[in-house]
Amino acid sequence: MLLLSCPVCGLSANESHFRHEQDLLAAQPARDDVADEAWCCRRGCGAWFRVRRNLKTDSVLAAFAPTDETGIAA
Amino acid sequence: MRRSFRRHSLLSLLRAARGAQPVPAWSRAELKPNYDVVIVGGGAQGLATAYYLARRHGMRKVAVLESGRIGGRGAGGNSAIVHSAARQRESAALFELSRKLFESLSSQLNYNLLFTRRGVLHLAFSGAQLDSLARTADAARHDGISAWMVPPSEVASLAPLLQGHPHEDLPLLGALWQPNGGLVDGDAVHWAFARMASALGVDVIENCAAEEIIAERGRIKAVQTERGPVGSDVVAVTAGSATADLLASVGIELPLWPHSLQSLVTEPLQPVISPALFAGDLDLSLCQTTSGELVAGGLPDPYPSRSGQGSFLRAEDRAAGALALFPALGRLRVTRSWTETVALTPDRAPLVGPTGIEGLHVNCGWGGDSVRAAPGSGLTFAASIAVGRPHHLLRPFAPERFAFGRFVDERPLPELAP
Amino acid sequence: MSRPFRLPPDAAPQFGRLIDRRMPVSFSLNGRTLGGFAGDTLASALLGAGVRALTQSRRYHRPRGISGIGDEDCGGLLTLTRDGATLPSCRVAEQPLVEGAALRSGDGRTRGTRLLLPLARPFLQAGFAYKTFLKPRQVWPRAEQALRRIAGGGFLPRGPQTASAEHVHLRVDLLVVGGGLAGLAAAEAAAAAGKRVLLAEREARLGGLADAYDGRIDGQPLLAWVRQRVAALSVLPNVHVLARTRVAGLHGNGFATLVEAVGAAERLWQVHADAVVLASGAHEKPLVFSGNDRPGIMSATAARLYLRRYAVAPGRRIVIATAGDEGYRTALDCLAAGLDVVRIVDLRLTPDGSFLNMAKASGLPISVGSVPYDTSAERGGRVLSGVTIANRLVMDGAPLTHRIACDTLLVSGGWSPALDLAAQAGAELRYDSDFGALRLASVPEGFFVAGLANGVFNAADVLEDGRRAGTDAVAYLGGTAPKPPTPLNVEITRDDAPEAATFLPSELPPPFPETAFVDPARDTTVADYRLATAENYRGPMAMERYAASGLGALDGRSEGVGAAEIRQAFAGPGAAALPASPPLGGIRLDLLAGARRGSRLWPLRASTLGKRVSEHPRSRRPAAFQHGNEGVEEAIRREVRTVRNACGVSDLSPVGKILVSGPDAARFLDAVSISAASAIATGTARYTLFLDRNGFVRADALIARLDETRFWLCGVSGGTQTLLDWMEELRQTEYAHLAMALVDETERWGQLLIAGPRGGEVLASLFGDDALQDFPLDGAVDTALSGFPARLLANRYTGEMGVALAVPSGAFPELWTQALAAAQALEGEAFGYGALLRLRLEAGHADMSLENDGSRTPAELRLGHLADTAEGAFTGAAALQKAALAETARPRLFGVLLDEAGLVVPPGTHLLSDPESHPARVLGHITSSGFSPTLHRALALGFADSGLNEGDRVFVQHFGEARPGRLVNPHFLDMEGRP
Repeated sequence: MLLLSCPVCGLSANESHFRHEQDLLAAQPARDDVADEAWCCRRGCGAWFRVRRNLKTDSVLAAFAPTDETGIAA
Repeated sequence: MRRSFRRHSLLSLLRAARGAQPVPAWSRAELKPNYDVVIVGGGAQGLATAYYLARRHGMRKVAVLESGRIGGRGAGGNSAIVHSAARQRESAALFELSRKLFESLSSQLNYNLLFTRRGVLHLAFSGAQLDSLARTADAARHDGISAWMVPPSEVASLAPLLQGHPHEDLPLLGALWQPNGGLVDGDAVHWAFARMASALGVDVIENCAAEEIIAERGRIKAVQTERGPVGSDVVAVTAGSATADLLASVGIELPLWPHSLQSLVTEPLQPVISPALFAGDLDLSLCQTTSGELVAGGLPDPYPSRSGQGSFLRAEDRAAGALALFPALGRLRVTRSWTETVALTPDRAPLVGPTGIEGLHVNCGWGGDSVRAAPGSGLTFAASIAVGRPHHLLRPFAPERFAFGRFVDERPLPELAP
Repeated sequence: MSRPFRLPPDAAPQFGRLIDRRMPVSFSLNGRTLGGFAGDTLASALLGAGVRALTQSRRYHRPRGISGIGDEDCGGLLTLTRDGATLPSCRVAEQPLVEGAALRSGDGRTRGTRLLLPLARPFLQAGFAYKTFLKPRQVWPRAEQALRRIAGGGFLPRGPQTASAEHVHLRVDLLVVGGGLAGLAAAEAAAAAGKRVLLAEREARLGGLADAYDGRIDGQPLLAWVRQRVAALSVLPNVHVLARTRVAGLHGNGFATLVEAVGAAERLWQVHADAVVLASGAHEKPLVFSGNDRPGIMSATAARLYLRRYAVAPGRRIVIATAGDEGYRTALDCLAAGLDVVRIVDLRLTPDGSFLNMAKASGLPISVGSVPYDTSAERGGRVLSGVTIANRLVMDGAPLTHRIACDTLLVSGGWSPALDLAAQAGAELRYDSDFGALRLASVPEGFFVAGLANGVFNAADVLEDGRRAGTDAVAYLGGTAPKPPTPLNVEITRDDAPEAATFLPSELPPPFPETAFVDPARDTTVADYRLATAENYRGPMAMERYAASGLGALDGRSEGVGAAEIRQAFAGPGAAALPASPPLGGIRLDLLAGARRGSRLWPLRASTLGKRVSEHPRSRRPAAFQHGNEGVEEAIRREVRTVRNACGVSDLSPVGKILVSGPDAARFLDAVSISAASAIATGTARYTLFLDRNGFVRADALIARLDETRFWLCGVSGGTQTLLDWMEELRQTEYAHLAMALVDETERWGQLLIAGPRGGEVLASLFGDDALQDFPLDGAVDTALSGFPARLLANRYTGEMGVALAVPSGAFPELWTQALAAAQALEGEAFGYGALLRLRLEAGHADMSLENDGSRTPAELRLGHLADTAEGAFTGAAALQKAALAETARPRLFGVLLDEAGLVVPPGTHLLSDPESHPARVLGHITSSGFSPTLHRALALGFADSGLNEGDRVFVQHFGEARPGRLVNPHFLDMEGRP
């Protein structure tokens, strides 16, 4: 089960509090087990934020708020 | 060149009981430097393809490279549900071909695949699901597939445990019934194809991981493996969720995502359910194996992962769905969960066909349907490779279809999309 | 009540610590009444009552008994009924004995099988099912049915079973698995460093195997020391101690699932821990020899615990086979209990040490360098009658054997660390032949192992190892564990080195490998593994499944203790470790499902009006308001007629409503919908579609412009519930630079639809304003009604002019009553969802929940004209340019009129070309249909391939016959409601 932390409101909870981007064509296929994806802080502030995650371990490498310029381009 | 091979039969069991020496099911072949066809990935697709290449097209200088061992994998313990239902007719045609082949495959491969034709019921608890199944049923009638809609009363007679539906919260509206579908042993499918292919001369090489694909000037040259390069003019990649990375090594981007697919297996129960059941509204598939366990499966997890650890929320969903159908199962224990990593495509239909590199083919993205599709997919894919032109049943699944907007939409109905 | 194997009350006081002889308890097994005492488990009570053969194995139907005391026990899967509740399976060693408990064994049908199966055994080896039943074709289905009956299984309860199933979530720094000596020490160390600790122990009492040993810690007897430490831990504010709590899964990333037994019910804990200490102990290894599965063969340490805890004797004439000192401990206990230990068989060639000397001094007969070789039984295999031991020192030829008559064989093959949870969490396991067990080769981050699980087999060293693990965990979490004030003084007799008992003494292969059981629960034997290897099924999972012939069930342990050793002996080190997956020990389905039972399966959106429920379970809108004995279809037709002739009101409250506001609201809607929202004038509304990035329609809605910066979206036919999520995502990702906000107003407003030619009059009478009789065709007006805000929206869904009237939800029931009264005064009535759909079918409008299956473009739905390409790209526009989505290539929506006016064909029916032409080509399919009371004929909407036009002939198959029809314009009625 994934543990995510919303970079906007700080809600730190398991995946049941968040929602994953569903549109597969919009997402980039993962390379080398690292995926860039979008999650919504469903039960918190509702913000969509970007996450870089290691698919092999399911651990989150980084999370970027929507307004974070250093983050992954939307 | 046929290898020595001992036929399975009651007589062979008798001989074994009297101490006859056992014979390997498939030879532990030596990896050669060159082949006519190299198949990367020893799953159901790869092994079926190798078998049909050898059996129907006389191509025996073929190698199947598998990074681990043959068989022993697969979600849902061993049982895969064989049926022909799909949202689009193109997919249904391929699954029906597979199903028909399964009927005589055990004797053809001289290996009991434990194919039990107990029938398959797709239950509808919502108008949308009912309409979708009705469309599948009607298409089935025209395409020669033996499946039709049945009303709730008949559902109760096919699966007595469902008596007492409709529940107020979950009204059963009807079902799609395919009496000649059933269960098959996934391991047996792998082993049977491997054994017969090997007997026909195919080299089934275990513990040989492919690392990279080598191409030159737009033509395939070799596959670089952990045991050295293996040269060939024709390479077919049937490596499931590992396919995307392999193709990336030669510059081809495939729209494939690895997702976990979980099943729950319960402790053994006296026989209570005969047909296999699907309930799309509940994201649930349910069947009872010969040894009495119930296997609950469903859609893959909603986010990509290669960890082999399914999301626990999904397990909760499955349990809730199973109990919505059969509240009496409440005290039954889930003794094991199986998680498989499957490859998903944007429209949830597989990618089958040649790629931009000459001689390089792919067959992947079956998303958990790999076993039930294996005979049909293997046969047509082998034909495509041998003849040099995609088999007509495979044309809708060409990898480049997305660029043209040509979806084969096998996504779950909109409300349920994970 | 006879209790042949229960020690008499005057036995030595260290036996029977947990039972209360003053409180006898009775229970039953397969109808036979038996007796035990309060404090017993079902297993101890059964053993005490003399029950040896309890169940039969699944493949060979061999009698099996209770062989252990923990979760490795496989002899005891039975159906238990108590207090009216039924458990299809229970582990007798873990279930406390309660008055009136009824046990029933779920054995497969045994008509003659017990006699036939031993004869059939040579044919039932690994893979037998795969090799046979091939010809003729009818054989396998019959054989499969027979196999299903033979396999047996648990029984389903009758009647409703309500067990409460609570889910609890917890975050801690450290999870300690196991409350034995090592676990306690680890938890203490971490708690002292201020970390939040959860200690989970499977049994009701902590201490693990401490009561199997004698000795002192800091001058106190073991158990007393344990009690004191547990008490001290439990009062710490940063420590949770959970007893009767089994860790079912370590899922990686620190997520763990635990099952707590709370009385008769269970509770599921979902725990996120930053670090884990695994102090799960070890399983005592059985030995593999021919006939090693018989009732009466038990683990030596388990026997000792049965004696000490429950005063239950394992048997009367006891032989003990041991590879280390554990067997001697048990022998001394048996002696103290007055039992007859006929012989101790020590596998070691030259054992030494205090235990050997103590045993010798007590006069116990000992054989060294010997192994159990074979066993014999009487009464159909139900009662052990003797064990044959053999000399290990054999150069060649047959070994020297010696048969000893006995009724009990206690076996200790050493310890195998319980590492299933480590494997689940991602640790790598490797078989260590010096050790004779699987050990950890690598662990994931934050994972620590202590005690027996870490291979520390000497009880004396376990505490120190636990403390070490706790300290390491604290260091990982960041911090330092304070040193204890005084070092521990541990006085427990140290064991002599055990032999890494080659589980399968390789120099002495079993004489009958087909009865040398590796995993008794699955009836797999040495012969099976040997055969699997020889036939090249060499992967660990492949070997396991092949050995069980695909028919083996796994009862909650991942494998038989020691199967790893057998696999690696035959197929090399790569075959030793099995992939492990949760749950360990099983989780019952109702516990997993938790609160999501019955009506709580899904969140529901319902309106409080109406009594019949529509077929759409997600939004509970009444299908029709039936009068008297009317059927639903009859009611629908009546309502449709009423609406067409006069008027009607329908509840639209569950439909989604979204407020889009802000200076850039218009720009946003331009971009996400296919229409040009900015061109909508204030006070008007327009129907539009929303596409996904593939160009497919996602949802439809009416956009009403309330003012310059505010738009109100009102869902029409489907997809609105996900529309808000979709818009919010777009707003934040691609349009974050726009100044606007989205608000979900679905529950804020109650809404009803007024339809029909006299609808205007209804509206006028409600508002007392005759001007409203001619509500504009695209109007959107904010006004007030009875002091409440009211919003009026023109809605042509039913094919003629209609108005949707919304008021705040609290005021809605009152509005409904008034509107219904006003309609009835004009000969109208309420109409339900069924009539609504039928009305819109007559109008020929595409309904997104019927016509749209997720891959329809606007052009296909004949709504391409809504797309406003002049304003620039909207979401999905680019995708629509793709060749396959070009209008000419796609099917299109048509109306379908069959020649037989009264024939309604169901949705999903396909449209065919002329059946005279073989084969008939499929041209499309029908998506919605129904009988139109207005036009007195059946109508249908459907899609037909590109290239077909209005007027073309099509056919449908109905009950085997082809029925002709033709394609027409879907708009069966025009705007005024005329055909």
